Amino acid sequence: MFSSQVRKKRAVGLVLLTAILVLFLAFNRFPKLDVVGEDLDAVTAPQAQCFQGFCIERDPGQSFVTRWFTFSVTYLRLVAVGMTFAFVVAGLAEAMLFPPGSGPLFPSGGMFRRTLSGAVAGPVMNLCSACIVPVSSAFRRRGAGIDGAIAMVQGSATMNVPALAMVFFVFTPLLGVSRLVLAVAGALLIGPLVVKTLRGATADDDVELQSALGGLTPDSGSWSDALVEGVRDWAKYSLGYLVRLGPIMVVAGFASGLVLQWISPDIIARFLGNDLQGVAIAATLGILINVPLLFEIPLVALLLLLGMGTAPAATLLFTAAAGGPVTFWGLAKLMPKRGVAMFAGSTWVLGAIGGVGVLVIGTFVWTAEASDLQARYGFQRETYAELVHPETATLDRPAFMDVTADSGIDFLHTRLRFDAVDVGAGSVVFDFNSDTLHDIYVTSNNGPNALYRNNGDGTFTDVAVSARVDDLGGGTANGACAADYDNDGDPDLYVAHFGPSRFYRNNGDGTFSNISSRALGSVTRLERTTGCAWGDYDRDGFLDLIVVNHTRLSANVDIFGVPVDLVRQDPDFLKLHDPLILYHNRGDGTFEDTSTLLGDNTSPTLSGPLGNMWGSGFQPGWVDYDNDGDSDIYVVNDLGDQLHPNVLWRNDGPDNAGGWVFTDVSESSGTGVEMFGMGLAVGDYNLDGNLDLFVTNIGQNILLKNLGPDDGFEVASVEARTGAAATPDGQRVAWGTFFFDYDNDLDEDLYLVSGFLNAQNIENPVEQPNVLLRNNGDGTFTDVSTGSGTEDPGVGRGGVYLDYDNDGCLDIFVSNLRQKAKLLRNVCEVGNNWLEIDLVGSHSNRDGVGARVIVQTRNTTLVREVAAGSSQIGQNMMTVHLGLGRGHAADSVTVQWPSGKVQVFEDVQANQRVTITEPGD
Amino acid sequence: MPVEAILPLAVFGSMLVIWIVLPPQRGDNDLGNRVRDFLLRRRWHS
Repeated sequence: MFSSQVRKKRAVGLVLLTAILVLFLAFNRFPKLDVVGEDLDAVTAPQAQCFQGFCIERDPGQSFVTRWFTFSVTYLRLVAVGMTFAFVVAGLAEAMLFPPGSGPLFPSGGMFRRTLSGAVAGPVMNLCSACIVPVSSAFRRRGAGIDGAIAMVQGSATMNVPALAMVFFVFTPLLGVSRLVLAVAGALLIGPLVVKTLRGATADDDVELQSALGGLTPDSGSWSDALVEGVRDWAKYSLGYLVRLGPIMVVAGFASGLVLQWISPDIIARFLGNDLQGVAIAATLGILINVPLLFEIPLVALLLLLGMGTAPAATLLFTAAAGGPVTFWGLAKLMPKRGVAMFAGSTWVLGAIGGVGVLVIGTFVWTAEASDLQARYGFQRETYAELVHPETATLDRPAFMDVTADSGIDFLHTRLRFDAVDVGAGSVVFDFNSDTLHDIYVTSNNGPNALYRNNGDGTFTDVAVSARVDDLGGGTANGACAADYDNDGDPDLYVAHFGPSRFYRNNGDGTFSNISSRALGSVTRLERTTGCAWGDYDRDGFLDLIVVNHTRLSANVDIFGVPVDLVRQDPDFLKLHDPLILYHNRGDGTFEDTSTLLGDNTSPTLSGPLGNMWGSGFQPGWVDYDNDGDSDIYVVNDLGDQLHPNVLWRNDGPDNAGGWVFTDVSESSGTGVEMFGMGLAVGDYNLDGNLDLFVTNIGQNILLKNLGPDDGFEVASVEARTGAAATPDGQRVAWGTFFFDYDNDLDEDLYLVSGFLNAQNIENPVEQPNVLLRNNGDGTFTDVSTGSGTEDPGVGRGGVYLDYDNDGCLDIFVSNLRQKAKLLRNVCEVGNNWLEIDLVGSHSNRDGVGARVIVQTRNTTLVREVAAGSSQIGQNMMTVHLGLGRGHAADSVTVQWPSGKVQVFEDVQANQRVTITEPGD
Repeated sequence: MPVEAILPLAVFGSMLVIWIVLPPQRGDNDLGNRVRDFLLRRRWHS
C-alpha cells in the first residue's frame, strides 16, 4: 500500500491536512460566524453603520486616506489567518499530497470529473477567492486542469457551507436561492468555459504536465526519508507561496479598500437601484473587489438597508465573493491571460444573469404580492397624510432637560443577535426599597438589566447586581412590571422574557429572590413575552397578573424584519405563536393559570379567525373603563390585521359557580382596532370622568375617546389632533406613551416615544423625535415637541413618567433600543400647583392598584386610576400625580378602593405628597 | 504588532527553520540548503 515514497508522503500529507483543517475550522471559520453576526448587528443598527473598518456614513472628522488606510489594514488583519492557512495547505498539497514524482491527479478523468472534484474540494477549504488561489494552484500543478482549479476557487469562495447557511439565514429566500444557484453554476460552468476558450493551449499544457509528472513507481525509500523530504518540501513550497503571493495580498487589501470607499448612500441611490443598470454596476463592483470570506454578507445587507435594489444585491452577493483582482492575478500564473479574462467575464455575466433573474421574478412572478403590500402600506401612508397634523407651537423655554449624564444613569441597551423582531427596552418605575423615592428598572435584550436606585440627590446608582435582578442567565428580557403581590409592603418584580420569564420576590432588604417556578409553576415556556400588568380582577386583595406574547417568528426571516403578510402563512406559525396568560393570585404566594376565563387558548388553526387570546400582544392594561368599580382588561396587539386586533374584556364579576366572567366587548365598544398596536396610555384627557385609551401605532396613533359606561369608544385622533403619524422625514413608528400633566395645568398631556423599526416594507426614518402633545383643555392637543427638551431622536421604545426629584413636576425616562436611555428632568418653571398621593391598601391590595382617585378642584374633576403596567412593556410610577393649576388646594379627594370602600378628604392643600391608607374594619 | 500577525510569523518562522535545518534528500541545491551549508561552514571554521 505504501510501496513508494510518494504514497508515504501522501499518507502523511492527508493526516496533516486533516489536522490543519480541523484546527482552522474550529478556531477560525466557525468563530467567524460570530464576527459576521456582529457585523449584521452593526449594519442593522440605525446609527452604527460600520463593520470591519468599513463605514457607509462618513465620519466628517476622518479623512479619505485615513478611512482607506483603516479599512485596508482591517482587511489584511482579517485575511491573515486565512492566507496563512492557504499558503500552508498549498505547500502541503504540492509537497506531500501530490509531490514531485506522483502521477497526474486525474489520469483518465475528463473535464466533468476534474470540475466536479474541484467543486467538491473547494468548499472544504473555506477560503476566499484570493486565498484559495495557492491551493488551487497546487491542485492544478498536479493535473487537476484549469477547469478543476477554477471550480475549486468558485467552490471555496461561493459554495462553502458557512456562507450558504448565512445567506439563507440572513436574506430573503429569493436572495438565498439565487446565491445558491449562482454558486453551483459558477463552480460547474466557469471552469469548462475557460477551458473551451483555451482549447488548444490547455490540451498541450495538460499533456506536458502529465508526462512531466510521471507515475507511481515502487521504490525502497524509508518512512523517515519520505517524512523528512516531505516536511522540508512543505516548508519550502509554503514559503514560496508566501513570497510570491504575500505582497500582492497587501496590494489587494489597499486596492479593495479604495474601491469600497467609493460607496456612499448617494452612490447607492444613483447607481444601485433595482434595474438593469444597478445589476450591471453591482456585477462590475463585485469583480473589482476582493473580500474576505463571508464579508460580502454584511456588505450586501448594509447596502440593501441603504437602498440598494434586490436584483443588484443578488448580483453583488455572488460576484463579490466569486473573484477579484487578486484572484485574477493569481490565476494568471496558472493559465493564459485570455483564460483569466474569460474567468472574470463569466463571473460578471453569471452574476448579471442572477440579478436579472431576480429582477424578472420580482417584477412578474410576485407582482400580485407586491401590489398587495403596496396597497396596504400605500393606504396607510395616504391615511396619515390626510390626517390633520397636530397643531404645533414652540414653548418659550425648554420644559425638560436631559440630565442623564449628571444622574449617573448610563444604561446602554443591547440586542440579541439575529432576533429580527425589533422590540425590547422596557422600563419600570417603582420604589423597590420603600424609601419613598422612585427607582427605575430597565431591561436589556442581551445583557444585564439595571436597577437604578434613586439616591435622593438627583443621582442614581445601579444596584441590579447586589439586588440580584440583573437578570442574567439566559433568555432575553423585554418588558417588566412591579407590584406588591404578597402584600408584605414591598414591590415584587416580573420580568418578561423571550424564553422563560422571571418573577422576583422582594425580600425587603434591598434584594430579590427568583421564585419563578415556585410562584408561577412552569418556567420552561418559550414565549416571546413582551408586556405585563398587575390588577386584582376578583378584588380579593391579591394582585393578579396578565402577560402577553408577541409572535416568536424571527429565525426564518431576513434582517429586514418579519414579512408580516406571511406570518400566518408560515407553516411554523402555529408552533411559534402563543396566547396571552392570565395568572390568578391564590394569595399564598403562588399563581394559577386562569387564562380560559378570557377565551379559548387551545391551539387555533391556520384557517379561520384566531381567537381573542392569540393576538401578537405588546401591552396589556387593567382599566375600569365602565366605572363599575372592577378592573377590565385591554390588550394592545401588534399585527392586528394579520392576527387579532386589540381586545377589551369587560369584567362581569363572579359566575356563581366559583369562576369569573369576562366578556369580550371589543367590537361593541369600538376598541377592537386592527393596527400595529405598540403601547397603551390610559387617562381622562377630556375631563369627562371616563378613562380614555391612547394606543401607539405605525403611522396614525389611535385615541379612543370613552363616551361613557354604556356608550363605548370612538376614534378621536383627528379631532383631538393626536395622530402624530409623521415625523419631519416620514412615517412615525410610536411605542411608549403616557398621559401626564407635565405642566400641572389640570389636564393631562400626552407623550409618545418614537423609534425606528427595522422591518421590511415599513418605511420609517432612522431618526424619529419623540412627541410632546400639550392638552389645550378643549379636547385638542398641540404639538410642543420642538424645543421642549423631550424630542429625543433615538430609537425609542420604552417611556415612563416619574417624579424622581419630588418637586411635583413629572419627569420622563426614555429607553432606546441599542442606545443609551435618557432621563429628562422637568424644569418645573410653570409655577402651577400639584398634589401627589400614595395609596396603601389594607383590604385591597397593598399598592392600591385599581383604586380610583377623584379630585375636585375649581369646578374640574380629575380622575386617576392606579396602574402597574402600561406604556410600552413598562410601568409608570404608581404614585398618583395631579396638576392643580392655580388652585392652592383640592376641594376634595375621593379614593374608591378596589374593596369597595370609599374615602373622601376635603380641602387638601396643594404641593404636597400625601399617603392615604385604606381604613381597616 | 497586531495579534493577527502572531500566527503567520510563528508558522512561517518555523517553516523557515525547518527548510534550513533539514537536509535535502534529493540533493537539491536551493536557498535553504545554501544557508544551511553557510551556517555549517561558519561553525566548523570557528
